[in-house]
Amino acid sequence: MEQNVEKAVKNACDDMSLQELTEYLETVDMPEVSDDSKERIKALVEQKIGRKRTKGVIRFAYVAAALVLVVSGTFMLNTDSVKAALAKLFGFVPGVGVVEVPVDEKGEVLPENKWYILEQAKYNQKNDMVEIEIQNANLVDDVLTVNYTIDLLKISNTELEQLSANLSEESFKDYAELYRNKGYAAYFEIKDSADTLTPLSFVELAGNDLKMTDREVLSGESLEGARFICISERYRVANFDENSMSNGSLTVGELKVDFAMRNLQTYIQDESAAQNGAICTADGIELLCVPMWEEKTLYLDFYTLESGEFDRLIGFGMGYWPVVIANNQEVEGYVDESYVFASENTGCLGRRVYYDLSVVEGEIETVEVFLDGVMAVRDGDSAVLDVMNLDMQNKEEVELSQTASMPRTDIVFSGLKKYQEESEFLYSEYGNVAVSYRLEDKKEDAVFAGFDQMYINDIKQDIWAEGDCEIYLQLPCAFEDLKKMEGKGAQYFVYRSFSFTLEK
Amino acid sequence: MRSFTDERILKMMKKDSSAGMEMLIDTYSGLVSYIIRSKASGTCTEEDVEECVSDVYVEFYRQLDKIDLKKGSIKAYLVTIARRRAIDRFKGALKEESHRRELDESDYYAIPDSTPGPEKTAMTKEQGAFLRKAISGLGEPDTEIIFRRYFLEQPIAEIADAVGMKRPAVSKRIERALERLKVVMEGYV
Repeated sequence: MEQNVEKAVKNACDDMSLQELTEYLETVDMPEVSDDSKERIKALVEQKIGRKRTKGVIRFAYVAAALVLVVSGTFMLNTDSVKAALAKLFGFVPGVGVVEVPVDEKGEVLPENKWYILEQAKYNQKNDMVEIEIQNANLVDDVLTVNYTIDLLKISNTELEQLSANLSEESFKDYAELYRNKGYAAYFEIKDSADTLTPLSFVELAGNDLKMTDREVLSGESLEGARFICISERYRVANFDENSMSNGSLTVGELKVDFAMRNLQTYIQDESAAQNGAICTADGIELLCVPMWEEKTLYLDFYTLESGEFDRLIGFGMGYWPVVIANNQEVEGYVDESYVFASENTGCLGRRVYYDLSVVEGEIETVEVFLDGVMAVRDGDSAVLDVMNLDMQNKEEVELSQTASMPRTDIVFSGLKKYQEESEFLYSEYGNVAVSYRLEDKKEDAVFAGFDQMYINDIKQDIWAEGDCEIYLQLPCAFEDLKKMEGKGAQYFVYRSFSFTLEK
Repeated sequence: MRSFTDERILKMMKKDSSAGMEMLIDTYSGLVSYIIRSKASGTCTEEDVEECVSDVYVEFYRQLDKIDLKKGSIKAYLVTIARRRAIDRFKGALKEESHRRELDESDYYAIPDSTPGPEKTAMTKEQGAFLRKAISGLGEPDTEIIFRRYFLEQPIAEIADAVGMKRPAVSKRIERALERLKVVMEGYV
């Protein structure tokens, strides 16, 4: 038989089964792609599977990252106040701020016509001294919250580093002198006794000067190397008029930033909302999907009506974004700056998810909305790790095999490890602890995703992080003094199929 | 380089798809990009490659429920998807490139053959399986060299680096392996 062997070999290789490929590929590694390329690929993937990262979110994430530096760096804020401020700041929803609206007994979802957010994603102004950017602002009832940043364009990090090299109480004066020499007295109240710069700011809304009730100022470093300050201010709106809450301005020193606000037009009751939306129930979990049609855009809001065996629903779950099908075509979903995550004590599951209908061919009469699952919490599901009787003296790592049983899954704690990461977010004088575990699921319809609250020696911990089957905590005591760790309120990703038909 | 086991990646993708996807991309982007690039045969920009690589991950994500590690590794699934995606995406460009390459076979190490027509190279599934068994039977490093050359389409220089040999030695091994496989194939009939 005459054969072109080379081509035959190639064809044979092309037809390999997965099993064969697995064996052949076992030893094959290819050169890594650059980190930049990976980041671009990640962004593309996120975009395509419906979790578009908006510029604002990235920027906000950066702001948070910059602030983390304050915790462990050489800045002068006291640790407790920074932590408190950080916790508060992390609670902000980009575009909206802190959302705490109680559900009353009548089943109201959100107060009607009392939520306002910025008309556009951001507003900023710049001169040769500062750049001011309003990151987000919201007006709920009579409280206006404005979160903004100021880049001090004439102060470089090199200058600050030089000063911080010999940090002492006296050197605060050096900072103050630097700021004054650069002309920042026109923008900030500068004190000789602290590094904190207090903006000379005022806000006007609908023609009224507002009274400030609360302010947080945090410092960090900008990517450009300039001094960077993040400010959160709250103002009381004395004359609240629903029809005029539109235009306002923030002024810091000599620079004014105008902004416009728009009404979120939230719905007041399930009944009235349901007339515009659709309800879907799956295995005891009932969701309401409310559309808001614009010419080429569909906005969707989701609310929890019943949470089944769970105490509350806390979101869609990463990667399980609502999918919209219009005229047999899948439409990509996005979130804009006004996106509202699920918030405690509200029926809100996720608001302002939007879909670009301009890509759909033909006249749209109805759309189908599909959601494959939700994140939920069972407050009563908790797991206790008892380390009272373990010998932890002079050890930095302890192997464990302790099972905590919860109704939906057993958690087998497998190890405790002490570690020190001073430059990281989890900074404590005692160091940090990583708790590792594995899961033995009892029910397949939900996947354990973490805990709502963490306690060490019965003291609630404010800051912790979760990795893949690991929980990282700051140690509030010496490693050998650990007695008990507890996770309360298990979070689950619950697989349920929800589908809604919405008529235009 | 961060790399994770297949089980860990899958588990994380199901628990937190965003974190799982990061692990997947961190672990396999080198391989997936290579496959796409080699399939596109220089007909695309880096942007096209990244776009196509992201399609591969998205397809993997959408088929997550079908991934069975008993049937194949994540690497194998990704490579299978990547080859198909690359062919789909760069179809037009590949057609032109393939025509050009047919005119210039010099970068292929071909055994002189008088009848290379496609109708005669078409193989039955049995023939393919038989040949793959024969490739496995070549023993190492020849099996790996043949796989790298004809499946991954790596240039001789890269194969030489990967298996720790000099280029002429790799060329010689390919030549001998193909001769042995030719004999095997003739014996099949």
